[in-house]
Amino acid sequence: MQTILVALIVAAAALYAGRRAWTTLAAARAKKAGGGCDDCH
Amino acid sequence: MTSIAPGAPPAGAPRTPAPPAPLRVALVGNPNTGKSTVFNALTGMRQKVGNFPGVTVERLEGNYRDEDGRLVTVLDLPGSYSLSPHAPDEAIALDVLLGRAEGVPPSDVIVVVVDAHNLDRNLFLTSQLLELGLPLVVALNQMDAAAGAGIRIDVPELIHELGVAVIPTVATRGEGIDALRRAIARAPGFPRPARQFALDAAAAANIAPLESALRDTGLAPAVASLEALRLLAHVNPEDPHRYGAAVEHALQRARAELAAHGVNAHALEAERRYHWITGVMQRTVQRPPPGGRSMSDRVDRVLLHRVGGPLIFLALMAVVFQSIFTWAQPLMTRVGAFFDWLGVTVGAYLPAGDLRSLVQDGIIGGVGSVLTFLPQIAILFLCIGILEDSGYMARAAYLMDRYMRRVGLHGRSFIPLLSGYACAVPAIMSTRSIEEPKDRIATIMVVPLMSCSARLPVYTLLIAAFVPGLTLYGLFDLRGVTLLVMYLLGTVTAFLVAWVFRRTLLRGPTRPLIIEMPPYRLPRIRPLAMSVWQRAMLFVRRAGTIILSLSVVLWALATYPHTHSAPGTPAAAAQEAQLSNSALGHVGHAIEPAVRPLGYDWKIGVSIAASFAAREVFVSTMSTIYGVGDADTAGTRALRDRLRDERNPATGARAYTPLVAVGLMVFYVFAMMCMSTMAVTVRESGGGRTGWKWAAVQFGYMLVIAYGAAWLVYHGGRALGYAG
Repeated sequence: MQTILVALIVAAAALYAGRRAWTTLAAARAKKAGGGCDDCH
Repeated sequence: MTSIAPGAPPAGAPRTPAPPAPLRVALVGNPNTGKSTVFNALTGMRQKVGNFPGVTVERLEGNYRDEDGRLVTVLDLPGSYSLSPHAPDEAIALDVLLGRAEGVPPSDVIVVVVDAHNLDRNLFLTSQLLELGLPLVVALNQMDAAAGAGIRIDVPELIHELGVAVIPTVATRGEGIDALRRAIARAPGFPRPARQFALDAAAAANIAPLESALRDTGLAPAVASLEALRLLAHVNPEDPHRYGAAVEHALQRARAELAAHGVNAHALEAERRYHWITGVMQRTVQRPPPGGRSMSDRVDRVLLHRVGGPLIFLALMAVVFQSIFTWAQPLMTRVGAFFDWLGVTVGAYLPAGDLRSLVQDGIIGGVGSVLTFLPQIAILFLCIGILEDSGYMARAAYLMDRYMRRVGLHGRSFIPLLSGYACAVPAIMSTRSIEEPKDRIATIMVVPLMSCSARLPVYTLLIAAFVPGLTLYGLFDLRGVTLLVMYLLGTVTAFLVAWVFRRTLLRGPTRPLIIEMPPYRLPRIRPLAMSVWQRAMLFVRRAGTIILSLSVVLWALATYPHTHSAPGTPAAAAQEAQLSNSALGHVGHAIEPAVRPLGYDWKIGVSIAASFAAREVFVSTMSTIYGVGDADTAGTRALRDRLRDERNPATGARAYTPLVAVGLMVFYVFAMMCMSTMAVTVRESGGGRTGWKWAAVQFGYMLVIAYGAAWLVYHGGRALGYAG
């Protein structure tokens, strides 16, 4: 049970970090996109 | 037979009057008129920040309900001196006011904030706004400063001259804001404003065909007259193309005919408007007779002195960095103690094993280690806010301009460079106010060298761990001085690098800074508190999102795969083996050869690599590594103590020395290490291949300087006999 919980937390964190990295790079590609300070915070 | 629609009130029930239709208000004004303060006073905390579609100019909207319960949405437009845009942020203001900005609904009312202290200059924009034919309200702000300077304004006469409502306000104290709200509510019912001066008959006849051609494109007659004067002024060569060949042809004819009558078409608008403004000023404003120097002038003689000015600036900065250390320390100790308590308390409820380690070392240890620096971040922004609000920051811009011009930086680069102390991302975005592309790129290239607030946790962790708290000259703490040196190092290098760029890849003329010196005044508590609160919340949000997620991921990498040591192995050795054989350990050992010449071990190497996501992650990664690897299972030892006590397992010597710490700080001064900054550089320097090329140049030169400087510190220090 403990192992499953830990695995779920780590997977969620990895997904979130990956998504943030992806959106940051996508904002760089989108020349005209709004972006803004949300890129860094 | 009657039918009742679903949801309709039953017959005879009292009817609730429908609320009036929502109102959209565009807030405009010259820079430094207190426009943002008026915006805050009108909307309170009900604001949202976004971007105008298609451009990276910030769009700030807020709302309130007026006395009739109507929803009023206020759009705070970028500050502008006129409707003749020189930069992208001014262009967006014009597009919104003309109702042609993509994705922005047209405004029902315009509120122009004018500075009562500098009414003549502010009336230029107001005179243009009168011609848009939209309901207009003038907020005559900073009435207290005008009264203090002995300026008396006849408000009823000004209302008569402008033909619109004029509301005296002191937005910093909330005075006049209720009256302004009432004027906004009534403005749609007032007669529409119009041009308050007339062109002479010959000029009007020459311009009439141009106005007619503009009307044919769909512009309202009043707006066509305004556009005709703007096009003749020829500020932006692209403007005529927007309206097509007929308008371009009419424009050329109008210019030729005006020239034939001896009228300078370029200067026509400015001449007529300033002529009108002079008359309005004579009839509405009484100024005190010119006397001796004002208090601000006398203070400026000292603060802007050629030699004394820069020295006072440096001394003020020293005090700022000193206070970051001394004032923050008691609060930091409490925040640290809270997270220690939280770790122990939560740990007591969890069974021994990976889950407890994840919560204690990964989540609470990682996030807590970064949040400990919240008081320092708050004090940094408090100090910046005080300097800005008191009027000193404009003087600092003036002092810095002397050096900026020498290295070829544009006068407008000062604001992005200053913003870089907070965060490079909005700082790079603010370079959009610089019109010349080479000036913009040069500024973008050097902004990340200004030490942002994300570097502060790295600096202060290392300074607290390795720099002794000695007092210099009985006045300054060595730790505060070290911090000041790190900030100065970044700033001076930014100037040197700009000098190189402006003489190689980005050659071009240097433009001077035109800056308005606001009068000195006591900083206001409420805006200061709001600014510090917003910055602190951004930091907390960052800790609760990206830093939390990375702390969990790095904990997993440091924990798996498990290493089972032989029975009887000392706990410290077993945990070192665990770390070394973990996934993180393997990555770290792969990186180690690259960082070993700088005196770093694999733990620092892997923390540097992880901090590319966000610089503070260096601290949380070190905390997680030492949390996982610490024999002290309660995990209550401060990270700085763990760093001080760390020993090389092979030699038994100290793993981190003051020399390594200084080298590491110098590395962080110069290294890019920020994915978000890189992304925004790509976008703002042109996007596509061009953008990536500039981002690569930026990342490359910063890495070379960072590595070289850290190497020099480490090996130079050892050569001079400091223990490496």
